[in-house]
Amino acid sequence: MTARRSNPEQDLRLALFNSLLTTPHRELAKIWPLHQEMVAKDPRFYVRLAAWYADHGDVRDHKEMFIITLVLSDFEGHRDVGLALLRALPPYEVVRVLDFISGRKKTKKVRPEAEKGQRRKKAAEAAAAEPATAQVEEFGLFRNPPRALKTEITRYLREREADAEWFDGSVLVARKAIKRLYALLHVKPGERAQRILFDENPPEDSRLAAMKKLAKASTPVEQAREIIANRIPYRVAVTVVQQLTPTVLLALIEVMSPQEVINNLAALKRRGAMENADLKSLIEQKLEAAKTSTRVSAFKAEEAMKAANLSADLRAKLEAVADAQVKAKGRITQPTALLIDKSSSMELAIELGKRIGAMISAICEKELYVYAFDTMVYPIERGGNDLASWEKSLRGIQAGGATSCGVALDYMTRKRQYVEQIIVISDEEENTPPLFVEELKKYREALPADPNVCFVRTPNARDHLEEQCRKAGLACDAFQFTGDYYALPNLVSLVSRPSKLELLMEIMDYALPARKSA
Amino acid sequence: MRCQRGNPRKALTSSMRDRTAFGRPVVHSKQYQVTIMGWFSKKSTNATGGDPLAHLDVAFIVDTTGSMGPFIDSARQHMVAMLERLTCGSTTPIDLRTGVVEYRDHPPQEMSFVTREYEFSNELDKVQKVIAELNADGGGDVPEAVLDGLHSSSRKLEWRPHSRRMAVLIGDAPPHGWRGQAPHGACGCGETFNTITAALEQERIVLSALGLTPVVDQPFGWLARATGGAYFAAYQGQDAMSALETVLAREFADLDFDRRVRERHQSNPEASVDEMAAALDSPPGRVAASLNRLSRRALFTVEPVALPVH
Repeated sequence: MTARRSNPEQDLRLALFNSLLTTPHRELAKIWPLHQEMVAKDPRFYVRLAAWYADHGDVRDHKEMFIITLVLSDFEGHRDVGLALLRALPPYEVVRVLDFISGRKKTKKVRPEAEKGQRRKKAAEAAAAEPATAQVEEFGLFRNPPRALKTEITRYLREREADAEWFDGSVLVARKAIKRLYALLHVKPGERAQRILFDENPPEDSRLAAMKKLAKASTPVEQAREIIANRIPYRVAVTVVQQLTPTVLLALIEVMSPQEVINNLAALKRRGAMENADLKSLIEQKLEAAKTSTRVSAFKAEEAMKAANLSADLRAKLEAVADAQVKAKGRITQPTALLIDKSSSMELAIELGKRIGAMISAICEKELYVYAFDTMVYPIERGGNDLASWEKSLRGIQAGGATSCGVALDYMTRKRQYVEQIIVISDEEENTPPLFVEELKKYREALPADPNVCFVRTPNARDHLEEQCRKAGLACDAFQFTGDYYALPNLVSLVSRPSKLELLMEIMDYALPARKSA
Repeated sequence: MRCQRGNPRKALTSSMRDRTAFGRPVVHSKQYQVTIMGWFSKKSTNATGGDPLAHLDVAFIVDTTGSMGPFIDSARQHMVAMLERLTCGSTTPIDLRTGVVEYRDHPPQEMSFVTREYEFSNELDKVQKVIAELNADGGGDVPEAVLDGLHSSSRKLEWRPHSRRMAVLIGDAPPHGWRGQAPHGACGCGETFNTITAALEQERIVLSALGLTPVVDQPFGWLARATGGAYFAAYQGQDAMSALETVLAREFADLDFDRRVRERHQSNPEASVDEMAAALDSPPGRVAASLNRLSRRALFTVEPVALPVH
């Protein structure tokens, strides 16, 4: 049995892993200092992690931050990798990268707030009488973008200009962002780009001209024809089409990507798409395709279910999408025990704990023992092997009771349940025996077994159990999850490896992308 | 029963103003009775017809040793402000009762009392009177009988069986059983940080703590977090109130729906979440959240069967 001590390098890597389990919601400044520190202290690992995350990660903010850091890094080779990764981003993300580096000011007009206890009407009158003050919010680093970044973005734009179809598609969904790229970097647009973006005079054969035709089309059949022929996206089309008849909806759903269908399920339901057999069938086809699409966010399907009160069959389809997407992120291939803390102190985190628990359970391919615990142990029966079944199995669990983190291990020792990995979802506020570390020692001796222990800490958790393990010389990994459902799939990549060391090795071996010459 | 006339927020605020000098409070019992009925009535459980779904019990656990002399006014202000927010800030009729526990220290440091409990009451004037009469005195050395206060709140106050239970600890000195940066040993009463937080967890009491000096940041933070609550320094009083309101909003914002779920469950205890969701024409997630709220307060049981450990 090997005792693994933490060292500063590991701590830094762990801090970076944990930062990937957050959802900054575009506040890149929050994660910038950590990335700065990491790239300075461990540049070789950082660049590999950036490449790995670009392919396996789910949160766009982190992908952007990796690119920003690499582009600004002085370490040899970093800039080229950053620019290669940049080329794969859609225009709105390229603008975010550029904006963060060059800095952006936003002016807001603010009126004084009403005094406490002031009546609403009086407060409104007082506020109207007071002049609004301008408040300037600053965002970004306010640095000159490197020349190489300008070159790369110019190539990025020229590459799109060369492919009219691609360029039109990008402009349809990100017109503002593309204009900003040209303007910020003083890139002279090509003739076609100039007409589309700046002269408001798109060529007849462009999809932008088709948008004008769509706005003028008088019958649903004409509208549908324009939408299909020019693949006009749903969110753009709905801004110009007055009435969404079933014919138009059919055309719109036809051109939607699976992710767009999921994102707009509530809107489609509101517009009566679920009552029409043809439309519903088309939606179901799209959901089927979403299972294997690499551009579908795993938990968006579940969020869509919450937003729209859908029929049982559509819910089942969405559950299948979430399940397939989570499973595509990774599998656990060793006997595993999953221990979920349900004590009173988990009250705020229990729903998150259950969601993580269901997700981890669903990706486990070998023997799996799932227990919830407070001062007693509650076995969770396997209803099925998919995400939805596990979520249903965990629904009955609610926070209550004191915290005895060792109670489930005690039970497993008695039952001689052999596992090679123990994942504990907890806030680590242990206050009642049997204690985790003592029971872990007994378990290892009794079976005998040498399981990897991984703590998944909920927001505001302490590191008590991890510290106790380290004091006792027992190896363990710990991840702090503080994000929301966007960041959840990132956790799969981290816990599905047998140990953090294997994950680190995989990242260190990850191939770096090469920058395109032009 | 809703308020008969006048704005309860306004009525309460004006009377609060009368008492913020923190002499003996000016109590307008009659005014409260008329204007605040429905949120905080003279008669118990008037607002909700005794429905345990709306029960909220809040206990203030306050250090009243001599060292609190400079802070006792501030402590009173915090308590009154919280009461105000709880009674008037809520958009749903909550059946609120408030209790107070004051603690000092063990003999020989303090000979008057270790803890003194004021049982839960739904009469605001009574509670205000208790708060106004809290007097800082004695105490002796620095650590105080904080754990005794917590013990009393969990064991001696009579919490209603299905109420949402919240405790607010206010003090300026660390507890016995704390050394440096971690719990160490036991308090004179035999309680440790672990046993007391376990007791609070067992009783479903979520502890929030308000520290009036930086020396309590760590021990109070430890105690609060271990029960699922949060710690706030004195300057974060507004945050503490917002946190309380958030908890209340989460617990009581969907009362009508919770009632419907409870009725549905009572009529068909075997129904699955999906079946209930279909019957109530609501997303399963909302039904599951409601079931969790209800079962957490033992309003019914959907707990999985626990295995015998020994």
